[in-house]
Amino acid sequence: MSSANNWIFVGAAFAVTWAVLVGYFLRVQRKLRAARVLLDSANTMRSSAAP
Amino acid sequence: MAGVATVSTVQVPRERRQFFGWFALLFLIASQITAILISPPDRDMGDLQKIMYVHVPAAWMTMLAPLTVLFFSVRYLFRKREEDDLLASSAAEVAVAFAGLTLMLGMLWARPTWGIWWTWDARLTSTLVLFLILAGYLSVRALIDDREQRAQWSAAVGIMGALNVPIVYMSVRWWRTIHQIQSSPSTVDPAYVIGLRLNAFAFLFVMIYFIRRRYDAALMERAAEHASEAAALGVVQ
Amino acid sequence: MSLRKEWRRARAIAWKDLTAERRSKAQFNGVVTLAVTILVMLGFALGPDAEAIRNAAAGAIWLAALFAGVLAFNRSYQMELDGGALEQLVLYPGSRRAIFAGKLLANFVFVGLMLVVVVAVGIVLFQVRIPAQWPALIAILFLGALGLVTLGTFYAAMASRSRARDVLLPLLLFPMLVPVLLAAMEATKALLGSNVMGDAGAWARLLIVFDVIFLTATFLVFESVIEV
Repeated sequence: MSSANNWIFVGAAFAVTWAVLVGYFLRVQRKLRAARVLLDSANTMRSSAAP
Repeated sequence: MAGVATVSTVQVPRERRQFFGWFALLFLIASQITAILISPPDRDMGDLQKIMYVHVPAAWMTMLAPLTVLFFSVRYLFRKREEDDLLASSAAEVAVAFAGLTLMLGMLWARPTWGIWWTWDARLTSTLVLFLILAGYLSVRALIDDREQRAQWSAAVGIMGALNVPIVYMSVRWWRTIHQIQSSPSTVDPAYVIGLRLNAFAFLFVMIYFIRRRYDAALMERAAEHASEAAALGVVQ
Repeated sequence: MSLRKEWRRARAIAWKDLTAERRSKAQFNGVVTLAVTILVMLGFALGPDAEAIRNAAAGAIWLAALFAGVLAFNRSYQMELDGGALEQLVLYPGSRRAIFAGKLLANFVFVGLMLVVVVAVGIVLFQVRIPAQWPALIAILFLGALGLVTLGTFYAAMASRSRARDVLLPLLLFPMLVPVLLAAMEATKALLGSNVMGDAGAWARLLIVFDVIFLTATFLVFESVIEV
């Protein structure tokens, strides 16, 4: 079991961890922003429809 | 244009400063660096031991998240408040992320240790089954359009799924014992305990932050939905 | 609603489901034929080496029963869905558990009979000998079918009423069935291999525990599923 090999796996493990965590965070951010855009546009429509 | 608008019973979240998010991030970075620096190489595993600092906390979160889903699902069935439904589904989505991560890390551990990418190890296999159960939960949410039906059915599926987690683990473990396959040793040398605990808490903070953030997004989506409906109906603000 | 009235209502529902026109006999034949076909396909996948086939017998039998049974579960709500009768049925107070019990009973008879045929064919195709402890085998089939049908009937209550019913039922059901299937397969494997009876006993006991847990849980949660 060579040491150098092991470091590859350890490195990959940490890389994958950060990829998943950051990736998921970005996904949630995107959802949040998209929803806010939708909300704002809907609200604008409602207020502009006011007499 | 930030602000709090009340939309029926669902509150639109305010765009607040993400203090907790920053804290969780920094704590995680610090925990990982600390653990890597202070831990000596293991007798048998060498530096491979370091994987434990991401794999074990991820596995623990994967066990914790379904409990969260269970809690909010039960609460939804009793109180029928939409917030509980959104919290349960947020927790489920975060759980899927952690389950997927645990599986990948498990494979990255297995390959150098036993030479194969997959072993039908009790914990790895149970995590895979849990992943599939959670995927089923998310499918229910994606495929059912009626809001009340979706919430009730998600709660039912979430409760049954969460209850099954220990049962699946027990049966798979017994299955392997019957076929005389040794399970992987799980004794943790005291030298590693501090690093492990630090990282476990770090992951916990990250998970809590993710669930809250996802919940915020769910609330925002719900509010947007409601406002769109109102706009379509011509209801004036 | 008293327990006896509930039981009578459940039996009525089961009876109606089982005897509804010629449809149910045709359905049964269809499902059994499918199960046998699956057995044959599995034979091709795992054989023709005699030892491999014999080792795979228990697993193949239960998988064939599972895949064919899935069709039966969604269909068991078909009649009410077609006639829009489900909303009516649910309105009667205290009848929801009776609906579940009735459907469960009907499915159990259906799947149980199918399982008998599948085991008979499986024993022949997969070259296993009828074990000396065949009453024990019957008991395992009974317990396994019970677990299978309990969860199948429960999830079909949702899947059959959704747009992607054919995908949703297996997707939800199969992971949940892992403990039951594992126990049933291992116990069957032990008996068919004329193995240590002790193994089968341990798995049978586990199977009983699983059945009790899932029966209880599904009965408690079913109300939330059917009322909406």
